Amino acid sequence: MPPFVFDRDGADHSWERALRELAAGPDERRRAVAENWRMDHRVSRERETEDLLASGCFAAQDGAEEWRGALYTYFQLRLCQPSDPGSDPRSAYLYASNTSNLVGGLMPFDRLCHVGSLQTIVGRVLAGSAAADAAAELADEIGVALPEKPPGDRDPLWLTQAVSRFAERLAERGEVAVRTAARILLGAIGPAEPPWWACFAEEVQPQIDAGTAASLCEALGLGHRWTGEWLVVWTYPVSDAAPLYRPTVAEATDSPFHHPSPPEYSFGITMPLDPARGTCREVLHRPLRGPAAETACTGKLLYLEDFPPMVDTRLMELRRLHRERLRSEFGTDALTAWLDRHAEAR
Amino acid sequence: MSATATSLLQPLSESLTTIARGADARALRAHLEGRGLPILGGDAEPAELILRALGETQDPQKFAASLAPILALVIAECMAERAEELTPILQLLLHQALRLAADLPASAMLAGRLRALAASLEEATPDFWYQAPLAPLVARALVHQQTDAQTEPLWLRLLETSGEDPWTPERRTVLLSAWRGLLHVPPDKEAAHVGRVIDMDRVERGLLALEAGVRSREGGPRLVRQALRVLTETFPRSPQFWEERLGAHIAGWPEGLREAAARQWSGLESIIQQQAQEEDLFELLTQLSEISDEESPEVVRAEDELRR
Repeated sequence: MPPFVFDRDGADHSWERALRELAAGPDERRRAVAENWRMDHRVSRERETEDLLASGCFAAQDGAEEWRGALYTYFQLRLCQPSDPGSDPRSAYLYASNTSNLVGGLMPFDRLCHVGSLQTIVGRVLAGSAAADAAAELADEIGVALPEKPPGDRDPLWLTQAVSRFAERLAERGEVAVRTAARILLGAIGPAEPPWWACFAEEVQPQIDAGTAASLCEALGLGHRWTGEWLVVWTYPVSDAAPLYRPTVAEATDSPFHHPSPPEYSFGITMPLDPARGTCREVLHRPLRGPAAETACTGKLLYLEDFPPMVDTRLMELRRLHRERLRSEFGTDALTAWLDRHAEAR
Repeated sequence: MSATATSLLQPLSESLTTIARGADARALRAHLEGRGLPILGGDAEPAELILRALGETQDPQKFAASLAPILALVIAECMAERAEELTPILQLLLHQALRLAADLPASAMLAGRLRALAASLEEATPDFWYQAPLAPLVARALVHQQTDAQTEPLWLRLLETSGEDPWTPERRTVLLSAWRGLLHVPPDKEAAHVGRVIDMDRVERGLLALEAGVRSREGGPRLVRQALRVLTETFPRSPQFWEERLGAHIAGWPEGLREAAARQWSGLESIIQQQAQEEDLFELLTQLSEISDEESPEVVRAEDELRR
């Protein structure tokens, strides 16, 4: 693999050893992550030096695992921060060094879609500062208890089961209750949350309408979700979420299901888990809160079952097909040169 | 969980097995810091992945229990490294360690280490319990790691100082955890021997302290209602059970707590009304006896009956 970092010459880069180690061996996921960090031209030199390298998270000449640990630290300390542009600290995607990824020119009434995991949200609430407020509001407003570990429960996976029961109770109480719970839970997470990834709702409307979690995850390339999870879906106007940003590997961190988007293109592009499906345009924005988080929620909870592609995706084959699709869809000289520069190892 | 997820988590399960065998705190710490974890993408945190990997082992509960003392060593290491203030990176590590601690089976060793951590953080930052981001996590981990009554003084102190400033979301979460922790204190040998699981004196003391501190705060009454819900979730008993136990004490409770209890157990309403009527009658009889030069035998008889 050529020694690029962010599509720039990286032969002497302090991450070279880490990326080389990451790409070595048979693990396709590790290789995909290394490739993404080598090829993503959307991380500007300013962001690289003023944000990533200046963050204090990365040490020179780290090995692959130290680098991954640093990446996790970067995600927590720099990205899981408030998305208010005026706040200090704020999430790193809002830094001036990432201005090149601002997305403009959209109709304010155009609609976006974000998919979240109920278990992840509940887990964050339980570990956060406002769990008591959330528990009291849920009980008062919709008569449902926030999941809590029962006394003496020794099962390390108690939360999965408790969130399932919670989801069923919410669903029994109807869509209004689900929307109310969405507002209360998101409010309790607090302002420090990574940005939301969103696509244009019309591109996945059939999957939203069908209410099948697996097909929604396949369409959006959400290969990191687990069988047995409950998903919550929000659709909302651009005006509720702006400003929008193009995603980069810095936000995707070590997601093997992310693929950097082509040069000269205005949006991120999803890599569907089923190559037969069309891609979706994707953006990043601040997480919804308050009344917007309630009204935008579809009120449906989607149970993710029969979702086997975690290992059997043949990730490299999926990426190859995705690149072919990008070539045929865009076919620009810049795209061709970019993909040729980053020909993937087989 | 699907078979595919199992194979993804297999290397982490194996690593945790090695860690448990060798009591390798350094390796557990590395995982909590995001190293050596399977590449999944998304926003799964190290503690969550470790718990999922534990779930993939043959005997998850036993295996999880064997990890608790090693986690105690990691927390001890964090404490030893702490200078004046916690660095952001050390805070992040503690955050993951505490999330894991809350979900592992209770261990006396881990509980002891958590108490030491709490004391040390409070010593360094006197208002630690009021607004530190780590405080709710420390309290929650302590609740679920409690194996004896050693944490009871802390729970009572937190509840008895609930009226002090500041009034933050962290504070409310810590208070609710303190209440939960108080309820989770196991009965002593003697009480357990006679089958007395719930210490009503402890319950009443904690409840009165909480209510007194929060009654005039914004959202205070809501917190009290939530505390009563936690009581019934912790000890699932019939409404009659609670009405009998609490009915005997409720006359001496402040009005807000009486109202909250009656909202939780409707049968208490009639007890409260009956007590109020008796109070009114007693007052009336007292006034009557004061204005009559000589008490009539009927008034004396009625007073005697009421006192009985």
